[in-house]
This record gives sequence, structure tokens and C-alpha cells, in this order.
Amino acid sequence: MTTLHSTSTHSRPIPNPAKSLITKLNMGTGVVVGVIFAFATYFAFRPAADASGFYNQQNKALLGAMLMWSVGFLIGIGAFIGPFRWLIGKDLTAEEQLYLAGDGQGIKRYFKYCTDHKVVGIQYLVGVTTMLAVGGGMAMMIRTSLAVPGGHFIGATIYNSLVGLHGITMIVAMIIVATGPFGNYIMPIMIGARDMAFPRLNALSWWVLFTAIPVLCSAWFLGGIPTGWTAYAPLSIQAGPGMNSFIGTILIFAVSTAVAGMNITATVIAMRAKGMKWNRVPIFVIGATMSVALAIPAFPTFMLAMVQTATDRVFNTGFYDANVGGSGWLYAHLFWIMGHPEVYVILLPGIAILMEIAPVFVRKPLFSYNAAIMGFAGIAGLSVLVWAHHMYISGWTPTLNGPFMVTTEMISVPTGLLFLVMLGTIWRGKPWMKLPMLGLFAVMWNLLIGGITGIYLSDVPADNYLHGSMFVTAHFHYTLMGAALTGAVAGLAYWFPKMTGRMLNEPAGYISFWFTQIGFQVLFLGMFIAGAEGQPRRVVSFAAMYKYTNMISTAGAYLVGTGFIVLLWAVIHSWRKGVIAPQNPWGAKTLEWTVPYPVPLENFDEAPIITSDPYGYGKGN
Amino acid sequence: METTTSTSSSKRLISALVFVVLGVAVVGTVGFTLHTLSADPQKPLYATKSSETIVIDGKSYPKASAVLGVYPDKETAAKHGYTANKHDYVQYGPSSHLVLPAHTYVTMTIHAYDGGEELNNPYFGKVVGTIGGTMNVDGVDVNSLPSTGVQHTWTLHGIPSSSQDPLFVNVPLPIVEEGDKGFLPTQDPGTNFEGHTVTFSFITGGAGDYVWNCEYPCGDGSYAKFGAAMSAYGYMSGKVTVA
Repeated sequence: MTTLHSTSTHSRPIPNPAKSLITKLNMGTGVVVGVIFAFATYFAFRPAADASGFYNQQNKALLGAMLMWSVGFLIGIGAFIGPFRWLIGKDLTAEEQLYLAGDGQGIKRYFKYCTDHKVVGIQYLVGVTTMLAVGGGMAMMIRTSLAVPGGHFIGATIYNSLVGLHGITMIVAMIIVATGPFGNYIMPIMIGARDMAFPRLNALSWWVLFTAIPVLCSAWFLGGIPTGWTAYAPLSIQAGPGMNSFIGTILIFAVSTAVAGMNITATVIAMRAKGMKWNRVPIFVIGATMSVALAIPAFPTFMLAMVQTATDRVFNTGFYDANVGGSGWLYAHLFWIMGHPEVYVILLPGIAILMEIAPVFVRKPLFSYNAAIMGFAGIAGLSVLVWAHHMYISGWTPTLNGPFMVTTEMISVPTGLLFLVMLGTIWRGKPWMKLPMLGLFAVMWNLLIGGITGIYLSDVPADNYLHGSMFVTAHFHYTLMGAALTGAVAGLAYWFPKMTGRMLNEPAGYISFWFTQIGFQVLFLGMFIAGAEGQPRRVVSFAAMYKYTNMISTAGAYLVGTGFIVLLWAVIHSWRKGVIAPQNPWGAKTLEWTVPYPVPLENFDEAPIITSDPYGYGKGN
Repeated sequence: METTTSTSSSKRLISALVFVVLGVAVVGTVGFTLHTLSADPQKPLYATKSSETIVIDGKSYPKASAVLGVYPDKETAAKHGYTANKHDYVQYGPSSHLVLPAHTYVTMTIHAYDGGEELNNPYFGKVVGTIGGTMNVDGVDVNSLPSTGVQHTWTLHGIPSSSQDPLFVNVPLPIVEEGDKGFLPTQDPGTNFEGHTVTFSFITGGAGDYVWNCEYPCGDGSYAKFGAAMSAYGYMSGKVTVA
């Protein structure tokens, strides 16, 4: 990408917002106010032990406390100071706005309501890493319990909760794994923007998400989430108090994703540098925008599903209770209208990262930029028309199984386009086999397997046999973990120098890569076999006939776990003591590599003007 | 310079290894904590073996026996000398884990103290898998109960496995109405407690792991009465080890 203006840095005046309240608020004050709000709400609504409708009232008190914790935390950290000051006609001063952007505050800004998109990106990175580590730890325990028949390691009740918590923790983490850190830190710089379109909303999206984490963790102390992450009604209506944690988490998370999605979309539409026409927008930006734009209509249905679940539990409204005219199918529809697009919300940014990486490490232009756009758009468009393939055997309108099978199988066409773009880009090239590039090859393999097995599952007769089996579990792990997560890790290796100023430790990166990728194949190929033989998912105890495949899967899981621990070490160690990175270690042409580290507060002192596409490798420019 | 690089590399390697060990330790510690929490809440109850034998269908079996109670709450359990589980739920005692000898004629006695409503599935009102297809209720042999007359069931079955003998026993326990008097077969009949005494026998196969549970939904309001006692291990469900 060619720019007419080079970047330079200049010193800024140190902000002095005097004794404004915003200087005194931080994560600590947020926690204090949040806890006060939560306890006040709980004690206001808590039922007497012998109260009639005890369970309804208990749900009301707990759910109310969880939601008020979030509101209280946001008040305590100062999220609403800006709007409040605007409402009373005393808008924030320029110095206060600069203070909110974290200028000159060092590490403290990461614990404040900071509007700088780079701070928000790092907050997302740390948050996502923590969630993945916790969710991964739970996966290790699940696999340990499944190592031998009989489920002797962990009891059935705890196993059920582990499966549910692992699922929802990983889904939440994976939805934000790429658009959170890279969409916030890298994307605005990539398009030549000085910040996001709505910096305060950007900070809000992170801190709202942050408040969902303790709510989710509270499930451990309230009896767990025994329904799996799908939380199907009527199980979720009848479940114990831990279910409130699930509902609270989704309600809060949906607000966060809506805010983040609108902000990213608005930023890409309105904040691109001069000369950055749509056909000059880096492909990661396109993929990330498609992803969040897809989430904007999809997630509110899940939010609605949870609101109705909550009212069924608190007010006996009966949306999902067949006894009073409700329907469990209604929940299934609302859930999967979100649930299947959500797969692509997770997948698209991961693929887009790899398309960003491929031209850089092969030194060739991206093969058919337009085909990539069509692939992303085709997937995004079709993904909202396929949800009922999750309900083939539910008995809902069997005559529509055929049409849903067709729309589902049609998704393989735009997915094939994305494959074509990646293959075409590396075709006859001489790849510079650095860590990000290894990720590309791994994802192409994993996505191939995930995609092909998905075709079997979209097929009605085959799904009648495979539905609810470990085959399904292996399939979606190949797409979500093997493709999306591996893509995000490749993105981390690629943008680590820009985000931290240091190079990621390569030997540790390679060790981690081979451990995770080999372990991954062992783990999930074993699971495919067990599933094809009939082993049901989410069941703690399995028949002796599955013992070898499960033992192999568990061995693979330990390899994956070891690989990720090594990666975590590499990230922490490199961030602290890694080799100082040059400004553009990969010789890439996108704008983020034109700015120094640390990236200046407003990214560019002079707005860049774009005169060419970002993938002009081998064209002499 | 080489020495510095070498020392630095060694430090990196050691720190990476320590990190991996710490990571494994953290996950392992949490896992074993959950494992401990999942452990049987009570010590196993071993069946009392007898020197007597019994011949059934021309084959001789050694005899063994075990006694259980099913209590509506902790107070009733304490009244009958059983230290109940943590929660004040309906529960079997003195243990949810029975150890029975293999290839043995086992006689079980269950003292039942609870009321009830109606079974979801009338099938579990039938006596299945016992010697003669019957059970003895307060001295009377019966082969089934009406679905509205069952307080709990003791239903023993196998976990999915092709490597152990099948074993299925279902015994419904009659509801205790006001004035009902159960008796202890070895003591004074009819005067001992408000409840019923149910006795039945079955023959165990080879060694294996089995589970038992109650098929009458007797939990609290959650999960359509399948919550609380019904979903917490060790109250209305447990395991049977045939050894």
C-alpha cells in the first residue's frame, strides 16, 4: 500500500484534567460499586425460605443481582460520565478527553475506562487469552474424565457443568478472539483512522464484556450449568440457580457484541483514509467487518431467547412451556438463528487474517481479491438461511429439511472460493516459512476436514445417524478450533511485533505449533471415529467399545494442552524480554507497519493518503 | 558473548519448562479438586456374606445380605441412627455405594419411610429381576404396585458395557400412609416404626460396575422434580460394585 505522507511523532501536552472525577475512577471503584449494586438487588428481592414461588423469586433476585452488578461496575468505572456530562450541558473538556484516552498514564490506563483503541485491543487480548486458558483447562478435565470408560475421574453432575461451562466460555472467547484484539488494535491503523468511530463505545464494549466474566464464573457456586451451552428449553427453565449465570452472561455479552459490532462497522465505513476505496481495503478489515455485521442481526435473537428464558423462570410466562401453549421449538429457532451465523462470525476473521498473511509471506498479490469478497459475502448471506439443519431430527416441519439441506450445502461454494484464494495466493510461490505462514497451512488442512465433515452433517439421512454424536463435536472443533483459533494464533504471531514492540519467541512458537497441531489431529480424528461408531456427546460414561478411541483422543488433548501452555509462555516471555522488533519485520505493505512502536496516541500525525492496493508485491511498488 | 547467549538460552529453556510444569500443576490441581468433590459421599456398604448356600435351578449360590433405608429428610434419618448426607434431601442410606459379591444370592432389605405422589412411568411400579419376580412388603409377597402408590424405586442396572454381565432389578417401595407400621424381620413384627419393610432377592453375575437410582421424581421443584436429590449424586442414585 502506497502512502503519500510518511509518519512522524511529536510531543503532546501532558493533560491536566485537574480534579475531575474521571481521574479517580478505575477497575477497583467499578468492582466496589458493582458489588454494592449486586448485593443491594439480591437482598431487595431474595425470597423467604418458605415463600410461595420460591424458585421464581430466587431467580429474580439472582438474575437481577447479576445484571445490576454490570450496571454498577460501569457506573463505578466511569463509563457513563461522558453521556451524563453531555446531558447536563457540561461536556468533557479536551484535557479530560485526552485523559480518557489514557495519554501519559502508562500501565494504569489498562485498568481504566480508556478510549484508546490500542488499549482496548490489549485488554481484549489479555481477556481472551485468560478465557481460552480457563476453557482449555476445563477441556483437559473433560478429556481426562473420558480417558477410560466409566467416567471415574469426575462425577456426572460436575461433568455436566464442566461441559456447559467449557462450551459457553469457549464460544464467548472465540467470538471475540480475532475481532477483539486485532479488530480494535490493528484494524483502525490498517484503514488509516486515528481511532474508532466511537471511542467511548469501544471502551464500553470491553468493560461490558468484562462484567460478564464474574457472572459466568458465579455458575460454579450456584450449582453449575447442567444444560450444555445450547441451554435448550425446557431444561433451562427447570434448571437450578446456576442457569441464571448463563442467562446473565448472554444478556451482558449480547450488549457488548452489539456495541462493538456497530462501532467496527461504522469505523470501516466512515473512517477510512483518503484514497482507500473499497477495493483497497485490506482483506482482514473486510473479513472482520463481515463478521461483526453478521453478528449485529444474529445475536439479538439469542438475547431475546434469553430474555424469554428469564421471564419463563421468573414470571412463568411459558414461552417455551408446552403446557401453557409455548413451544420448545421456539427456543431452538431463536438459538440457532444466532447459533449458525455465529460459527461464521468466529470463522471469517480467522480466514481473513490468513489472507492478510499469505501475500506477505509468499511475496505475491492476493489471488483474486474480488473472489475473496464474494466468498465472505456469500457465506455471510447464506449463513442466516441454514439454521434449521440443527433441528432435522427435532420433528419440526420435516418437509423443510430438504430446503435447509440445500442452503447448507450451498455454503460450500463460497467456502471453496476462500480456499481458492488462499491456494491461488501460495500457488507456485516460495513461502517464507515463519510461524504465521505455518498457521496458514494448518488452517487449510483443518478447515478442509471440518468443511467436508460438515457436508455429511448437513445431509438429512446422514445427520439422522450422526446427530448428537462425538462426530459433531469433532466437526465443529475442526472448524472453530482448527481453523478459527489457529488463524487467530497466526494473527497473534504476525501482529505481535506491532502490538508489543517485540518479536514472538520463534523456537517456542514452533514447538507450540507442532504440539498443538499434531495433538489436535490425534484428539479429533479419534473423536470422529468414536462418533461414527455411535458414541453420544455430553455423556460422562461410555461403552467399553469406545475405550481405545477415547484414550487416543485424551492423549491428543494432553499434547494440545502442552502446546498451548508453551505458547502462553512464549507470549508472556516475549512480551517482557523478547527481541526488540523493527517497525516492519515482515516487509508488509499495509498501513499498520508504517507507524512506529509504541504507536502514537492518534496513530498518524498526518493522515495517510492511499494510492494503491495493499497487496502489490512483485509489482515494483 | 557466546557465554551470555548460552546462559540466556538456558534461562529461557528453564523458565519455559517451569512454566509448563506450573501450567500442568494448576490444571491438575483443579482437576483433582473436582475429582475429590466427585468422590462418594459415604464409605461403601459391603454386603454381609453368609456361610449358607441356596440351590436355584440346580445351581448352588452362596448367600449375602444388605440393609438400606430411604429417609424423607435428615431428621428422620437421624432418628433411625443414620448420619445423613450434607443436604436436607430425601436420601437412601447408610451408603449410596454397595459392594456385592459376584455369583451370589443377595437378599436386600429396604426400610422405607417416605410418602409420594405418582410415577411418571408406570413400568417402574413392577417388580423386575428379583427371584420369583416378587418382593415382600411387610410380610406379603407382591409383584407390582399401582403407579399412585409408589414412594421411591430402587432400580439397579448396568452402565453401557459389553464386558460385564447384565443385571437389572427394579423394586417399587410403597407409600407410607398415616398409621402404617413397618416391621423389622429379625425383631418384633408390626411395632417398630411408621413405614414399610421391603425384602427381595436377586442373583449377581460376574464382577462389574453398575448404577442404581430412584425412578420416582422426588427432587425439588427444579427440573420437573428431577433436581436436587435426583440430580445430586449420592442421594437417590449411586453405584453397585459386584466384586
